[in-house]
Amino acid sequence: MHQHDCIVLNVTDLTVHLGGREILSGIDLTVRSGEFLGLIGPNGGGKTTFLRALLGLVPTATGQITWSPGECRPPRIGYVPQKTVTDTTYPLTARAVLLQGASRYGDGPPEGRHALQDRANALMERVGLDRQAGLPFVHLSGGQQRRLLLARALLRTPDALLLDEPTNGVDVEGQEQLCALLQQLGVEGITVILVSHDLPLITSKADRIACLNRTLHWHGRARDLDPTKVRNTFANELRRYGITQPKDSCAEEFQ
Amino acid sequence: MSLDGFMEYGFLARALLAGILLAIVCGLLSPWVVLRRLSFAADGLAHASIGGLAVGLVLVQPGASPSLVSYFVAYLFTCLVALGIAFLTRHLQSDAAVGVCYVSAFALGIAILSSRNRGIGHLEHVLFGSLLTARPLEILMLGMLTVFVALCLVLEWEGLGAWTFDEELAQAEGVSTHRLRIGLMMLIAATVIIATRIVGVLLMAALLILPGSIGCLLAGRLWTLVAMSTGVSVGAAIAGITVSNQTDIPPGPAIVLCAFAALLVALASTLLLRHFGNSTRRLCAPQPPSPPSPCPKTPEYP
Repeated sequence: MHQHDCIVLNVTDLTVHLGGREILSGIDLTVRSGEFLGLIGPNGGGKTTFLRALLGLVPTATGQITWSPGECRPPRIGYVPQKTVTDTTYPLTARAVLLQGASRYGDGPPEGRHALQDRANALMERVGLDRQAGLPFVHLSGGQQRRLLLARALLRTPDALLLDEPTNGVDVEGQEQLCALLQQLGVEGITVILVSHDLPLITSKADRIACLNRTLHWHGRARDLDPTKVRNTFANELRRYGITQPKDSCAEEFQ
Repeated sequence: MSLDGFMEYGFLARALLAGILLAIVCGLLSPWVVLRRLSFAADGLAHASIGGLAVGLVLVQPGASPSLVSYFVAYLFTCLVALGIAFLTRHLQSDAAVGVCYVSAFALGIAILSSRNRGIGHLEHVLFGSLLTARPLEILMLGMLTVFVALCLVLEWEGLGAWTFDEELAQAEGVSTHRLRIGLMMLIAATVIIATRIVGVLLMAALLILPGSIGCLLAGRLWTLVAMSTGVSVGAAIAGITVSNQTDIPPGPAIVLCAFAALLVALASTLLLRHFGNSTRRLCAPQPPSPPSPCPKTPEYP
């Protein structure tokens, strides 16, 4: 069976209200196992809220979110937030922060301490932070912190990984390495849902793209990305900068 | 005075035991109070407990010393204040919510104590406490609380660790942070109620903040932080009681001053390490592996 054949997430008619405002409206989306879905949209378009709704952190007004429909076991979900609310004096080391992710709130059997340490070491090496393991977390750069959070999410051996703008503040080489790692995770069967503003990067690396601005404007394979739909998604953003007639060539760059 | 000297007098032995048990409880709770930035909330609960003690001591079961019932009523009252803080935090800034609740409960306590002719003398006792008046009842309650707090930490260790790092990430990882917050506040409430007779509400907050702050300066891992916090807290209690016994300083302030001296030493060590060594190094952090040498060493021939 092809790894993309199995549906891992089914979202039906999702509407989310926050503080009396409608943030998301009527979203229908299906994501398959091992798929790399890129979620694009303007600021305030509801991308982070969508991820938080998928995680069950915000209540949904209407609609349904079903993880692994038809399967008994709920999927393990790894989450890499846009930023952490960590005090600048937070004392714990990068390794300690990583190991916090090995929560017993999963469904697997308890893991031995040595096995966990070995896995943590391997993950630190995989994200290129093995030499920073003993440094305080707050001494890592923004990009290193995000890579550590990715390792923390992977320590939970997730079936699906949700990442909120992990490439922000990361240099070009770091972005390429991160995307290569995410593509490799897809090959290993982990579903990746990535929110990013970096359209050229995301459209070149993701299997499928979803354009989100309060509602789902377009959803399809990355190579079928429709520049007009992208323009519609970003219409408000373009108007804000006084661009009323965007050139097709700009949108075509995404492809 | 030697240990034998302490044991000669029953009240001194009880004071030492009560001080050590209280230090263990505060040392175990302090890291979470500091890491979750609940210092003001802990201070607020300590002050709010005056309201509870006033209700328990004066209205429910009047007497010279608080009984088990008085303590229980005071605890329920302080828990209500903690729940009030949690409720108001959803509508106000968190520090404002703490401020509103604690000044109201504090004012209620003073009003009750004053109206029932239990004014200044009693209020002073509640505010400053006296370790030497610790009774077997308080020691028993502190012993039970110590075991309970240690048990809670063991059971909730991973969740607490995740919660101290980032609340939303912890929620996404399946940790019920709301339950942890309420639970921690309940434990703090129980601690301040029992400790009121021993160190008084004014100094209670210091014991919940100083040990964890020292641990944060020195430790790089969670378990070393908690161990260091508890060790420092117990050390400060023993040193403070000893100093108090040799001088005219009451035990409560002596314990707090010893803990503050430990904080100064820890701060100086950290600053010296930063100045003379690796700026990122901590005393109790695992060190990163040394970078590999750029080229293999040439073998030495005889």
